[in-house]
Amino acid sequence: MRTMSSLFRAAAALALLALASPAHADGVATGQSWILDSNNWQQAQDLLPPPVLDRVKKGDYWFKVQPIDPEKFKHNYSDAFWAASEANAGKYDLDAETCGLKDVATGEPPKFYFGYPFPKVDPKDPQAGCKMAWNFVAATNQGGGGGATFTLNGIDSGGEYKRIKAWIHSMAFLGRHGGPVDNPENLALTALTGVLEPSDIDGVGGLVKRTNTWTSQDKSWFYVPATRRVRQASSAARSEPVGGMDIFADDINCYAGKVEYYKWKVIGEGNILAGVLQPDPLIAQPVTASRTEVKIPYFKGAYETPGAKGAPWLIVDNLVLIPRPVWVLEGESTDPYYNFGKVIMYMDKDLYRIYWKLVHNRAGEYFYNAMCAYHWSKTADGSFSAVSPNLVVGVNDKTNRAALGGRYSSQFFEKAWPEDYFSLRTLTHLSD
Amino acid sequence: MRGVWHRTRSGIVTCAALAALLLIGSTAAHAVPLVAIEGGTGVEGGTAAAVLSLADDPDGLAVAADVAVHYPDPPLRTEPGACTLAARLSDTHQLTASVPLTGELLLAIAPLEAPLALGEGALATCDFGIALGTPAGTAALTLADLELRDAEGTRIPAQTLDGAITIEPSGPTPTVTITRTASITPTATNTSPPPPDTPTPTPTFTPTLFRPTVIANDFGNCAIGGGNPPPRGAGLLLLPVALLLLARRRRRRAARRAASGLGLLALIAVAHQAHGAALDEAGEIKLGVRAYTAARIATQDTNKEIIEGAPDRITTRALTFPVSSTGHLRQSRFFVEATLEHDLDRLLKEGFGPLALLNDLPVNFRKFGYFLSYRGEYEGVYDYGPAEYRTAYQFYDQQIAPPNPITGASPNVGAYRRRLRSVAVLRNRLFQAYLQFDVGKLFVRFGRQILAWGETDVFRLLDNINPLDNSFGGFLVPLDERRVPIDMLRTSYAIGEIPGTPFYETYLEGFAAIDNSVGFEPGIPVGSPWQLPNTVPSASQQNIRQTPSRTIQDMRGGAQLKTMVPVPGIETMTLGVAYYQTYLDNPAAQVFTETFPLPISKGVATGFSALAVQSAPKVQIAGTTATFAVPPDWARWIYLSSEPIVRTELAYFINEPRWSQQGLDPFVFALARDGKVCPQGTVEPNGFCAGPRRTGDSWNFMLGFDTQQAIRWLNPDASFFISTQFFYKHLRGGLPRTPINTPFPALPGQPVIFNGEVYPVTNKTYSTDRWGLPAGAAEPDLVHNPVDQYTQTLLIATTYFGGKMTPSFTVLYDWSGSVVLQPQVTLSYDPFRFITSYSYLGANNLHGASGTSLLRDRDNILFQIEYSL
Repeated sequence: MRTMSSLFRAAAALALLALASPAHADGVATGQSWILDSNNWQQAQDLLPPPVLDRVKKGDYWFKVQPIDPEKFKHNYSDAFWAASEANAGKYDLDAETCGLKDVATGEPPKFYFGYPFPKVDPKDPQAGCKMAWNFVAATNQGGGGGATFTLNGIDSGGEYKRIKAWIHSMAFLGRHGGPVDNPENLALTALTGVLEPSDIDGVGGLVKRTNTWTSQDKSWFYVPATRRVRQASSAARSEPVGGMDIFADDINCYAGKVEYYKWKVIGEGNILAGVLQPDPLIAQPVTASRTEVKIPYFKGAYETPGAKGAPWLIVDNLVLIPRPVWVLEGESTDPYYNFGKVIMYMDKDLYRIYWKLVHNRAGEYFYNAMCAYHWSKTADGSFSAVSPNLVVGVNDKTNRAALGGRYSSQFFEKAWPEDYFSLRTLTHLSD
Repeated sequence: MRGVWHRTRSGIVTCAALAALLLIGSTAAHAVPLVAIEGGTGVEGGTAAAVLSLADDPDGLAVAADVAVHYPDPPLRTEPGACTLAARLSDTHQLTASVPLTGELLLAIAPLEAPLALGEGALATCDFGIALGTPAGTAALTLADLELRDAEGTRIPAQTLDGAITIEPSGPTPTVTITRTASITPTATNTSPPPPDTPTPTPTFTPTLFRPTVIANDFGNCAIGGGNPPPRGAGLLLLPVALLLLARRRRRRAARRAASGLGLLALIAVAHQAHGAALDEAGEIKLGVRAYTAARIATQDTNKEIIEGAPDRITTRALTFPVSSTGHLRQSRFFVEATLEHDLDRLLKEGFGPLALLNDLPVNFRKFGYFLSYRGEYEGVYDYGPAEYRTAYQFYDQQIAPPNPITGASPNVGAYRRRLRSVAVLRNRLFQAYLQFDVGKLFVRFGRQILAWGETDVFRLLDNINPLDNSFGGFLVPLDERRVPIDMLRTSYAIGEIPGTPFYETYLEGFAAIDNSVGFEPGIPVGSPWQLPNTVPSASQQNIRQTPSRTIQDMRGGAQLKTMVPVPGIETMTLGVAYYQTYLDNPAAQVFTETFPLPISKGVATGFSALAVQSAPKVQIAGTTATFAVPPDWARWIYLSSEPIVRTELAYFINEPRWSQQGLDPFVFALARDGKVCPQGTVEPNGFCAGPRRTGDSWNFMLGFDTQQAIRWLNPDASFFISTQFFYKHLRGGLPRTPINTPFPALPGQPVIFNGEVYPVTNKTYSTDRWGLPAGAAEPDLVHNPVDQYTQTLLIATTYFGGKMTPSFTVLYDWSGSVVLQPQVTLSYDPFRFITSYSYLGANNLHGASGTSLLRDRDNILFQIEYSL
């Protein structure tokens, strides 16, 4: 029986793989790709954040640029997502005090939504920035849940000085494909993480829960092998360096906090060169009834590529920049102890991804930028789509030091995590 | 196939065709470029190489190639790291290999900078592993999705030629050879076209003639054209372990010095193997290695206070044995821990070997796996440290280690030194070894393991399941390194939400352990730099240790319930309730004499004046924990950033060891007076006088507070982690501190000795006449242990320079009058850590309580180099 089932799954996988091929052949990439470097940096004038363009001029950075078909690019999200977005018009509003998402029908945070809650945003609306941020969250959460193995690398002018390999499993209760699931704790999302290397911190694990309310703080617990206990930890330190490196908890997706933590403002619009693994979606292949898997090429850094030109943290393999129209948003934390001051973010007008962010300190001085690169995944039948923050390149321009985060070595999407999986008990057993 | 001609042939036919095509290709004009793969030959369990090559491109049109290699898996297996770019292309091109699907290897060869031609000849070599049990035959290598691109980025027509790996029958001594049936003859020169978009000058590329060479290493792994270096990691990883073993075998000091030095070199060499933790492609077997070497240098003389009295006057003695000076090496520690974690889920599903039996059970196992860890420790001060640790000269010093005042016998130096060397020099242990799995909501872990409960750091309340071992590295070694794993069955069951209550995420965890390990066996041996005060080689008192037996009766065990509950204002609180039975690290003690102070005439303590028996009473611990986060709004009122965490723990200990001056001091309980033998002890059936073996109950409480505080003027980039804990312990029914009356008048100035709660450690000894005895009969004045004990801890840490530097400051203040201050700086440059710290331990007097005052004369500075894989 098991053999038959395996054969069936293998056949199904092959069929899906075959179906995937036309999608690739019919992809959104158009025209010839070209190399942007110090010889032709002028072609990227106003298409890159100024500190990034400066590094291109100096020869620190070069990028492969790939023109795309913008209309086809939108289809990286499923038809169901776009249809739900259209249907959401008028259903949601904002809580004026907190910028929290409000179900117009109940006046409370929605128990579930799918698609952009604000399919049409007027940039002149004083709350436009907040609405765009909610669309950003909706796009982020459409995958529902999954996991990946990734690395964090601290890199300076001498190369890599620190490396952490870790995994993450996550589940979004709102915004997911497939409709609502049981949510007794009224969570918006939850995640488990664990460190795999190096061995002196192997076993460090974390559990984070974000409650679906406007004012609650995230809750986090960590397992520290040195004490062999799960310990509740402060989750308010989202601007803290992760592992001391030049990368921050809020850098995932270029913003990973609750929308309510920031004051959002639209300050402009334009076009930007956006980092992606490839413009076309990767095919999520089924491996079990509830799980699909995506094979991902590795973003190779200059520091690990012999003879590569550019800054050691420059991604020299598998990264392409695509031109995208963006809103320019300014976000500022409501927490006086947040380490960052003004944060400028470049957010896709259609797909609501933040591709770049420029960070200022509390004194208003620019010091740090992050590039967030993504890949999109779809099932072969197109009924499911997800966008994944596969890469963060955080660069501290003040210290000329950087950190790379992400660069998945594997990724999967999970529709049905076991009950009680995202729990202290799991955290304890995974780590100790 | 997008303009690619695709053929499949058997291995032999393929090779012949390739030869023919290559011969033709070298002369054919305007031929279609050919990309071919040629497989080598191997045996089951071995490897075989396959060479990807380009031919029929005399004009050097192709500058980049993408191709998929399909292969049967099983029996073949490969990984991206098994592929290498041909040496002739190493300066101009890069190879990216990936295995996105089982049986599919993707190769992408692209120019590094200017689009130089690939040129005819070998492009890349990939090694394929051949599964054990594979019968002789061929395994096809099929090329697909070939894309050759010219300098403009335009795809050029090309054709492919498949190949095969030949699997030969394995003999008694398998050999791996590659038989090449054809050679590729490139054109003499190859000038690539200029790049289209940049004004970069056009380089000229002249390839050298391709002459494949075969390099076979000791493992039968072959590489062509330079190929892969032989795998060194596995051998080197074991080097520190091997060196520790070497040190055991070769007792000579010189050999040990060499071994220690080599150990450090080995650690450095191992560093080059970093990031290779997963041992298999699927990541199911994972290896971790952590190793360090640490040296502690004394910054303080150890205590030596001997006030010789005139004849018939008092002699006061207080010293730390061995006596050691400032600047002396106190620790030279080598530590290596290797862990192996194996996830057996896949093998279980596939019914591998005996695991198939589990699939027939009516339950579904998940997360099935095992864990092994090896730990090796070596302490060098006894081999190449200062003379007081390296040699026995102080053991023979009668001023430091006096003889029995009655018999004149000297301590048994040989026995003490043998114990010291057997306990504290070298240890190799299979440290943890357990099997674990999930069945539904039940988690089971069986084997030698460590389990910690509670919320405290540094001191242990509910966390007393595993014993601590201070014998090797002493009190300043991190707590987790001192935990001793025990044989245990541990289970937990997820309850989740409790219906009708606000409790959720509830689980019940239980354990049962049958193990005889306790904290005082082996204990800190006499002669260790970390021995407690006034523990000198003795000819007067014989110590024996009684450990629990490995029986159901002596089993440790208990359960805890953990849950979460919403609380108004603070949102969520994590609660725990626990009860278990265990053995604490400090032993109960009972002292026996015969006709004190005359020597004992029978049994294990024959010739000694007293016999001290250390034993482990079973202690019951019941307690509760609560942890919650303070809402940021509240924290801001008192200028705290982040979201402080409050931790509390309350534990009640039943039957924990207790000690009193009267119970341990044979001058009080055993010395005959007023015509009464054994006046305050119990006369045993064998005629011995026994002091009491005391136990008692205590309340234990901890309140902890953790926060991350932004102090931007000190560190603009990262906050400071601040963790503080307040501990309170109350000994229920504690004895009041009262002077002990003596039958004879004391000499003027003679100190008064008090009864009451004490620690089983001597504060000072007095050769006293107050009991009417001649000078030389040394009475111990034991360290006072307060009935109410208060201790405060504080840790402050932050990071600088992108995490390369982590300074921290630790404070421990015992309200009974001692303090530990420990500034530390850790420098990280993967895979190394360089740690230096200074430990100041200060106290005016010795006290029980936290016990930190007992090491008040051991200030030191630490230098540590650590390697983590």
